[in-house]
Amino acid sequence: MDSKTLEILSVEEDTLNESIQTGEDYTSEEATHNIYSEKITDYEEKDTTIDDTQTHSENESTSEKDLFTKSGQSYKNLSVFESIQKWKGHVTKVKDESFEARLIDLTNGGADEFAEFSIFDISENERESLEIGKIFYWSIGRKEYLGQIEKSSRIRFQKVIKWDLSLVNKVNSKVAEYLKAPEAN
Amino acid sequence: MKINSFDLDICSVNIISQGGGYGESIVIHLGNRDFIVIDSCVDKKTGKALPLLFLEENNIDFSRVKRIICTHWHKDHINGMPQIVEKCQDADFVFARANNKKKFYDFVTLDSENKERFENSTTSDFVKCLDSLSNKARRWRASYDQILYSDVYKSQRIAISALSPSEKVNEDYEIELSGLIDQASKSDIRTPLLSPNDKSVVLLIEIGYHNVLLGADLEVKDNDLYGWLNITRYSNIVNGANKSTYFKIPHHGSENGFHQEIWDKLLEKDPIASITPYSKSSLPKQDMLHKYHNLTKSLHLTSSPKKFNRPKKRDSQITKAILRFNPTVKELRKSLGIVSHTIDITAKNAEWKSQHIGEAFEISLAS
Repeated sequence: MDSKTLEILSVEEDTLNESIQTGEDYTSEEATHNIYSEKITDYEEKDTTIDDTQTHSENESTSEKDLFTKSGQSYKNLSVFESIQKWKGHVTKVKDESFEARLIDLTNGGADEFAEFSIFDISENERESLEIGKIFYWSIGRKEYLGQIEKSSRIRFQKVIKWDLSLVNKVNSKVAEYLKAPEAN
Repeated sequence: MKINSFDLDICSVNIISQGGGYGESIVIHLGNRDFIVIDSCVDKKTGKALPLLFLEENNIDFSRVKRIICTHWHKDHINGMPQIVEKCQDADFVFARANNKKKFYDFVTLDSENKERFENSTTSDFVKCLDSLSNKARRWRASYDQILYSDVYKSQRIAISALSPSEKVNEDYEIELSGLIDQASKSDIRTPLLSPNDKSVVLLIEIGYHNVLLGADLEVKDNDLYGWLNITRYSNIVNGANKSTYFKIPHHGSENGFHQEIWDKLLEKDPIASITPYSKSSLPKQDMLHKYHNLTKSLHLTSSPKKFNRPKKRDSQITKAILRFNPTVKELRKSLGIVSHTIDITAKNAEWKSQHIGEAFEISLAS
């Protein structure tokens, strides 16, 4: 069997992990509807601010560790993903069976890249909501599972974050200032 | 980025670009040590705005920058602009008109606040510009047939006019803004504008005896209420007497930026022209290069339009891993080039002189 593994972590899966981590009993569907919670917003920010490689992999492994602990299993045999290269991408074109994206190199910076991805590399839910502008994170790295190391690739689409009242107030106050500023016409 | 000195009587048009969609900017010396900056792009390594670097390296006093003009909100035209606004505190800030100011500011602020958590979006760049403006700097909402700057130097008229966006585009934009405010609530998507190129601000720069037409990314549309045909058919500012001898060809020299009426009504015969290639899409195409070459006295490119189809250089293990999971990953190469043109403002029969820096060059095609 080809050791090439492509892991796609969908919004629901991520959120479910988080709900288990926080001791809440969500179904996958409930979790999807609860992605607006502040708690998960915090998690999202940590998870997607991936300038710091160590922080990112720690988050991922911690999440999976707790998931196994919750289900009563030992986590000796956990899969731990260690990223070696990360990008932030946005979709630039959607085709029948693929999508194109522009990629910002989060590991080394420098020139951007572009690539085409098969839509079969992402979950069905993500395929349905795929559109130009959609933001995602792509990591490739190594994964240890049952004592074996294999190369792995992960695509995570950014989640929708709900606005809170303080943000709305901040926006209103800024707009009021802009409307007062001097204009030539 | 050092170019020839900025003599008081010499106008210079400096087009700075990095190829592959990284951005473009234009710094113009209007004469008398007065400058304008149009659009912005950044050095990918340092993050510094290239027009700012250009001003610094040529020892130009930031207080002499009179206008900072944002032709439209594509990332390749606004990236780094807040740095320029912050440094050039005496400059007015010009951007494309939205009829309903409140709705417009609601949208950009909401979108910026939401996207700011994750990325440096075009709206966050725009809002940073608004936040950085000094109290004395005014905002201009540019639209068709509008004079944005005027002065007199040695009895010569110096003027900058906006020729677009059209009234119809402004009306449509007001409707679009309501939908955009809804889109702005989503943090998982880069908020797309409908036809952002239609909202581009085309500029006519009149400097003494010489005129410069800067095409931004405006396209030609079938309906003459939009795009270039709205200018060629209905503008009250352009006329037979102020045709341009210098043209920054719109939209990276793409086919949708061409119409013979532009060349007949807005430009003198055989003008000088420049193109900022977009190598990711291999723009301009060969047939358009031939067409433009035949229409101009000389045609200048800031970099090669050839697509760079190679992977980025990395550690061999990482390169292997990338190839295994997605062999289509290719580098979008940066290629900094500056096309600089100068002309004597006070001399009626003066000719444009060119200078190329970095990867810029004058094109020469076999007929």
